[in-house]
Amino acid sequence: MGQTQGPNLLPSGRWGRFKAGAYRTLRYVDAHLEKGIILVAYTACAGIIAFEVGRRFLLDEQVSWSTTVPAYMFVWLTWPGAALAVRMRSHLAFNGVRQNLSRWGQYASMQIDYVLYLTFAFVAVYYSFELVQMHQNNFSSVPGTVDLPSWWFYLATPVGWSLLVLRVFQNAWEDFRAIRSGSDLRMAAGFGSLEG
Amino acid sequence: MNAIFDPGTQLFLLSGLAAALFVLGTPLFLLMGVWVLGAQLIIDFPLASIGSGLFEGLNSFALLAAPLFILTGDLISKGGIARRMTEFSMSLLGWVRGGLGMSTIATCSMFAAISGSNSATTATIGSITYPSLRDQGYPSPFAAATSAAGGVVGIIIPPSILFIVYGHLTATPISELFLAGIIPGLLMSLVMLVTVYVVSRRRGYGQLHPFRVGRVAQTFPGVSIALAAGLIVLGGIYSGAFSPTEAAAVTVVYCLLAGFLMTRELSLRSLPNVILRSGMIVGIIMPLVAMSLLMQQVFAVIGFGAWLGEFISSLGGYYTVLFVSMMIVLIAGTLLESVPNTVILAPILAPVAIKAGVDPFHFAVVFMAGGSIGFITPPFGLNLYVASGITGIPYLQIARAVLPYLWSLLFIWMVIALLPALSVYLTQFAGR
Repeated sequence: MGQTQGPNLLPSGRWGRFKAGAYRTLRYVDAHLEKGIILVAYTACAGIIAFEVGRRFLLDEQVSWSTTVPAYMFVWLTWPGAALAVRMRSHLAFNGVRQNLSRWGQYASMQIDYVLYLTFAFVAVYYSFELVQMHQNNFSSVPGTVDLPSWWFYLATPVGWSLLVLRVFQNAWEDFRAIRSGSDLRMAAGFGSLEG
Repeated sequence: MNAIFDPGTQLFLLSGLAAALFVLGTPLFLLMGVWVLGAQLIIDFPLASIGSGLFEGLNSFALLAAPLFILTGDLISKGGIARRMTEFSMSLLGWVRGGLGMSTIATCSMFAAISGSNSATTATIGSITYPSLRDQGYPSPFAAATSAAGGVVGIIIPPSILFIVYGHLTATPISELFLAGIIPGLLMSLVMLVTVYVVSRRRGYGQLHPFRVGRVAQTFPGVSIALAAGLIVLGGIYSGAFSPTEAAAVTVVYCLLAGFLMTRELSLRSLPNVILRSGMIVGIIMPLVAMSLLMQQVFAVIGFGAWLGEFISSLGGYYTVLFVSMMIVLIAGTLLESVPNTVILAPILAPVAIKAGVDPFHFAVVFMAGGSIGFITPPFGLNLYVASGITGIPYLQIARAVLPYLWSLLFIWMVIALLPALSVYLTQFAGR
């Protein structure tokens, strides 16, 4: 059996190489965006606290922001984590009924979820960004610091929810392609995916 | 223009719609958020509170202990510390009839004293002990059920991720909550040890291995790594050296060093995946906490908590309120997972129970013990799913085999509910 000839995806010329590079970069960002934020935020949370506890025991001193910045980083950990869980379809859901629906029933119920995600995300991004602007306009700083702007941390909510919206669109596109091609829809993992 | 329905009816219809969407499989945190949004529009409450609530609901140094203990659990598991704990308890209990089953329960309790998660306990210890249990003559469903039941104490024996969430939502001090969980958690472990012993003796499960001091001595260094971690957590908190969050962060660093330098089962290459796994679990659990706080805000405005309190109080006094709450927790535990149960029910039931004269720490333990039993109650016993996932045994077979443990745990739950001293006694030593 001969090999099927697909479209020529090899880059040709400078423009082709640029496109291929941009595509690779985009794929990398897509795969690692939330993961990078989570790694930095988690490391900061644990690292700052443990380091400052060590300094307290050894040198009898501790910076006052060692309790505020980690708590702020926790928000940077949570919402990108929620976006990642949307992409992985791991959010807690009761899926006993949905799994037994017809393909189109499953597809329709997933579309309802996406509409709800977008509706709530619109409110979440709009009002959390308003909060960011307020902190920015007031030049407010993180408690315990002199000039660390608090809006850097308040940005976690709108950024996290924007990432979540991006993941919702990706999932919706994936579902659309699956329903058109006749392949299986990727369902939420359901209760079995959660730590308790 | 007047609305067709009054706000009360609109809220009722909104809740009905949310319930229908829940059955249809919409993610729970999203449903809670949409319910809050709808309710705020109905009662004309400023939507800006959603923007601030999504940040401020999580901006808590005390709550930060939860993600750090989640990471600790994963580091213990992937760093090989859990396996060493299992080897030690096997060497210690192998000579008793049902010893291997008992060592599974004992290891789960030890694991629970460092991490704080039921399903992680079952997944970690179950995957280590199940093959040995099966090879030594325990029927596969009972072996899987033993892992599922053993994990139940994960959220009772401190540290507990759900106690942290509960404390955050009900403004109950977390250090005292941890202390309150110690005796009930140990009692729950004890009844499960007795259960596995009795069942194994009656049905002739397992093989007997002679007790060898040499084997115990050989496996002790491995378990001492875990004991040191437990000492950091509990010793650190109750000596006043650390807050629970600081203890969690120090334990994370300790488990990292232990995984890199002592067990050498962690590597720089594998570490990001461990952190990301924990990060996604945080991304699943913590949005529920933020949404729950937003819901509480709406409940406060519409006076739902006060209404429910009056309703439950009208049914009777102390014991009625306690019993009704326990029934609600138990029924909810058979239908829902413990995180949503806690974030939805705890802020509603705790104030009612406290108003009826139930000690806050006692109620917290009764609530959480009921929630933890929900991990092995069908149809949605999470630990049963986890045990089924790691062993390949059908869910229903495990659900049947877990019944002896379930009855024992329900019995000890009643004892814990009727004897508040079991939960309250140790809390008096907090902060000394």
